[in-house]
Amino acid sequence: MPLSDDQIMNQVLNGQPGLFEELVRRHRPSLLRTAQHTLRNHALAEEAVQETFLAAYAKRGTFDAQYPFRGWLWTILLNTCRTVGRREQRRTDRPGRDAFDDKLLAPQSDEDAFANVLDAERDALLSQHLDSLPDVQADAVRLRFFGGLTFEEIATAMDCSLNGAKQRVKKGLERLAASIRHTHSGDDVGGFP
Amino acid sequence: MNCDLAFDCLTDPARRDSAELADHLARCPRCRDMAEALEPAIDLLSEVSSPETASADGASFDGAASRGEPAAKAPEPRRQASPLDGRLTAPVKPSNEPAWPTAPWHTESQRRLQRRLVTWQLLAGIAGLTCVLAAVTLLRQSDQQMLAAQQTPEECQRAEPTQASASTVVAGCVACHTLEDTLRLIADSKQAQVKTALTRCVACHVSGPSTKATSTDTPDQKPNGMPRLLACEFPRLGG
Repeated sequence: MPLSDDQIMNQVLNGQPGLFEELVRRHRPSLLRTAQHTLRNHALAEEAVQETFLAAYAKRGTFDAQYPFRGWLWTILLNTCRTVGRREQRRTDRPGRDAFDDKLLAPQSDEDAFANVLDAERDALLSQHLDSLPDVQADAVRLRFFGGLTFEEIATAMDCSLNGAKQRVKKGLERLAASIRHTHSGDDVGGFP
Repeated sequence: MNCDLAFDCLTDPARRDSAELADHLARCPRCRDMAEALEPAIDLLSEVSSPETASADGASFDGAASRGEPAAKAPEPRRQASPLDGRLTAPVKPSNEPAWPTAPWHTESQRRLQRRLVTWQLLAGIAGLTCVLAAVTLLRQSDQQMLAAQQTPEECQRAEPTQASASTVVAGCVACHTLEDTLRLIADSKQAQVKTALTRCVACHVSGPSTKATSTDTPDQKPNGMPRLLACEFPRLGG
């Protein structure tokens, strides 16, 4: 039976820092996915995830074992994404690159290129819709769908009640659905003949 | 399955198509309506969030392992080069960002609390500074009042020159400043001071030699020979 995150973290705290790599291996993909959709830039997302793990490792002493590790880690990610986003905005004073243009950079084949274009369009559409939501709702939706967090973990990460976490996800989904429907209805009206 | 669990399943891409959820939706119109309302959002999110579409390093998130549960299909253990290799054991560079309020391990409420604390500290500092300034101002005013009190009896109405005779003026001083009602208006600490000052008034202007000194101007003398008091010499003589 694999060790749980909390067990690994306890062992890391008890002098086995090498085990932290297992946490990185477990969580990096989902963190990266969320960071990509939050920052809309692969390089920035990589940076945010690295900073997240570095901060988690450097401040492992602040981890409170009575709360789930994932909630703590995702709290760091959300805050780091905001910091990285603000830093990037200050640096460039303009929005990031076109959404997910990284996917379009190096297609392996024609099929890949086509799939990448579709993926990029879909990702951009989702990011656009998520950006229109209030931050707390967008974050809650990202944590649920990209992070795969339970509602308890979302509540910990967002420092709200369990019911509050569910409400944020639900309201976010309702707004998101309405926004998608609105977009589609607009496409129908102004679409191709 | 209750409605709460149904929402849990509905928002979990792995359990969204489970038979249990379908069964619940068939029986619960409220949840069915909600599922229909949320469908476009959940469809899009499920597509994008599925590990196959992730542009990460290909490793899918294993939530079960995270919770210490046995995975349905354990992934082959593999050692892949991580961009963090070597960095985790290296000392962390001090960030350019200020320690407050951007400490990333703080929750939003902790950040709010810190912001409030700093705000309160600033306000307390400003209030403290204001108090110190006010105290200094009051002390200075108090010093001036003390000086004035040492120069003239408090509440004395005879600060202006008068044509009345010295004895009349002093009689007026005595009448005013020894009245119980008047004394009651004067602070206890000042009463002795006022009485002392009055004694000096009487000593100088009524029975003392200074009566003559104030009546040096012969034309100002009254017909009955009593000297006229142009103004009380008390302040000018420095108390």
